[in-house]
Amino acid sequence: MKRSVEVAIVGGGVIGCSIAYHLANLGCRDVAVYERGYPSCGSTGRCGAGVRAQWGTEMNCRLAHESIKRFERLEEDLDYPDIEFKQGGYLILAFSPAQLRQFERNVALQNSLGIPSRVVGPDEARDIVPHLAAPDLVGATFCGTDGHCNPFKVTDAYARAARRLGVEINTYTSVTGFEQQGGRVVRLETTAGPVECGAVVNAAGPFSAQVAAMAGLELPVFSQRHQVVVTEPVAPKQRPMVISFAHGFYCQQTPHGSFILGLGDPAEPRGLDIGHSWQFLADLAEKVEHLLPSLGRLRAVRQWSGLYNVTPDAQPILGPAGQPANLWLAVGFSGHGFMLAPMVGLTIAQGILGMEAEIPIDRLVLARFARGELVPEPSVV
Amino acid sequence: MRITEHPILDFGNPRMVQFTFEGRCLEGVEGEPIAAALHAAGIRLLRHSPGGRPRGLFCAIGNCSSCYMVVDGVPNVRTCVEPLRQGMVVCRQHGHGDLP
Amino acid sequence: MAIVECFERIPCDPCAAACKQGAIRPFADICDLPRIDHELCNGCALCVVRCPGLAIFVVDASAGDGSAVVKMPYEHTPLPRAGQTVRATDRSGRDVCAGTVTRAQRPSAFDHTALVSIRVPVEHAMDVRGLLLPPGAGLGAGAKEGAQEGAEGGAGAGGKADARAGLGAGVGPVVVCRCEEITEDDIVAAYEAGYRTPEEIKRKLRCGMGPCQGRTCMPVVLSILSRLSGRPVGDMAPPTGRPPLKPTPLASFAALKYGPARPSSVEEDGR
Repeated sequence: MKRSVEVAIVGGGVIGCSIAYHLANLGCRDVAVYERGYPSCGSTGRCGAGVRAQWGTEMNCRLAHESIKRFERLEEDLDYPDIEFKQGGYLILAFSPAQLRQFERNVALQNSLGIPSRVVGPDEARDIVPHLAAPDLVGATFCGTDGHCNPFKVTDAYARAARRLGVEINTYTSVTGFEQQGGRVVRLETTAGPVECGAVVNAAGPFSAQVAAMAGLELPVFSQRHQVVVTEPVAPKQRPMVISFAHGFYCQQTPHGSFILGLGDPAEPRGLDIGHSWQFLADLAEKVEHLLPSLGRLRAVRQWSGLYNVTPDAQPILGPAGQPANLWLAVGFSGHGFMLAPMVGLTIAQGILGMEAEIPIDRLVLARFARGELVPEPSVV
Repeated sequence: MRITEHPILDFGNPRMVQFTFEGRCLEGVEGEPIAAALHAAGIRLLRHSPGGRPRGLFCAIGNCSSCYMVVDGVPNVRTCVEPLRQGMVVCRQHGHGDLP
Repeated sequence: MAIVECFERIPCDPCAAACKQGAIRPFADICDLPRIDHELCNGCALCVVRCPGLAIFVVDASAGDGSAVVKMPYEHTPLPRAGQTVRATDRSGRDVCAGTVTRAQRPSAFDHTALVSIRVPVEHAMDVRGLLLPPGAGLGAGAKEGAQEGAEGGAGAGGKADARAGLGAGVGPVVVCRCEEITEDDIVAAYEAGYRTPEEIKRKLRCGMGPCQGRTCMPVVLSILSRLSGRPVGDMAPPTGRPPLKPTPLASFAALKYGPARPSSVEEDGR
């Protein structure tokens, strides 16, 4: 392991590996990633892996739209066999007139940015997903270029491409502390020994606050469990991801044939628990009966959970921390980090290298909280 | 072939029921695993995997996926533990089942 | 006299309760190994038919004519007949010598375990612990008939493989994960491409992601990784087992609904 690097990235999930790849691709190859397990063993590998451009703010729309374009050619760009990108679209359900009006505003914004989404009525929603029940549905939106991927394979693709470009990816290696001099992090302490560093990136997912604390920095984030279940595979039945913000519910069928279903719990406590509960299964059964009842006969084979890292405005914290001066943040994705990973990787790398960001992400900097300039996003699970 | 004499188990007076397999009428003991009734009738091939491999009983205790068949239109039925009932319609499953 | 061939300390003591002579003392600890007091044992063999592990035998060399009778528990069909000539076998089932059945009884008091006595030369009395009926006399014949009449398609390949070289040596691709149809060649190739741990193999190839959740394949995957890496199997953690225990229809979880209390397993620290 190198004893000194130009850029040290703490966290080898999809964000950390994407940043590492883009740094190397832009010419900075003296980069090392420190991952306490294997790439994607944390939140990345546990996520629902949905990828959508249907957002309610311009920045999210642009970041997501450009990310989707990169997902479309990721296999070619990174020379990786198959990331299982299924572009079957996202059907976002609306259950009240107010919700539908918000969706209509969102679609107008999305269309203005070149995203091919549209508002549909209940009948057309049921044409798109024939087994959709939801008798109280008032409408929905659909965008055919949205979809989902395999999060392990996407992370693996970035990590392997980064390695080929000379990046050092250290697995089963934890960062345990930072040493600072003159307001900069000069050395990492790791379980494999110390490393001197030029810049540090905090891409530690659910442990973003713990890693920031090593630098004496407090982040306004908390981590929170979200549970997921996967079923046995069946023949292709559902093209789009079906999502309902009102119920905190999402459901997609992977290319392999299994269904992955998730459900948020408004009463979920904050913390680092990644266990599982019967309550989740009972609540999920209820939602399935209401929304997609024929899936009730599908057999669940496994349930697990992962951690969101949540900020006050449910938007990530991107860019320089300010203090220490050479600490960069790519954390707080509040449940939608995976789908932004391509563009986050690029723009953070550009920032570190002093290049102009392809899409400006200044509004998402940490300092926004102190300034009271939150960026509320209406379209979140 | 069906075992009728056993040193430990007592089969009592089993009630025979009729079921269809791939359109053929067969008979089995009510409540025995569907795969046991098929086995007694000499039928060992229960499905083809998605890769086209022939599959029959493997674990025979409901833990794997080797014996999955379509029963009364429902796919992925573990025939090694599913009890046989009168009138069941049993078909080989080819690849992934279709969720009705 | 009764010979106890029970070697493992497991919680089991029906033999002591079976003996009417008091020759097997009641156990102080239920895991104790039984000890026979040979002064009190009269060779009645009640313990022989009570032992769940079929681990007790009676050897009677009292005839003094160069033969001995070995009484053994028997749970097969059909029951041997007195006077029948059988092959006497040892603890590994290997043939030792010829034997003659002197008695075979299965009264209801023996609870489905028969007691069979066979006479063998005395020099084999401490080796003989089983018997084989002559061919054609038992269920073996019936099983052969079945295999010929019915095997409609798909009998297993069952080729012999050299375990040292690899499971599939000489037989072609060997399926390790049956649910996802991953072969040994796939696993070896993934290892050589840098996926070294059971978790990464699972994520990359899908071994253990099918309906059986690794019950069938994981031990084999671990042994392949052990062979390739030189690491002992015990050093490699298999992927975490998670509920449900068996594939369960989503709708059936509605029955788990309950009120304000939210019991949950807790795995702290994000691992």
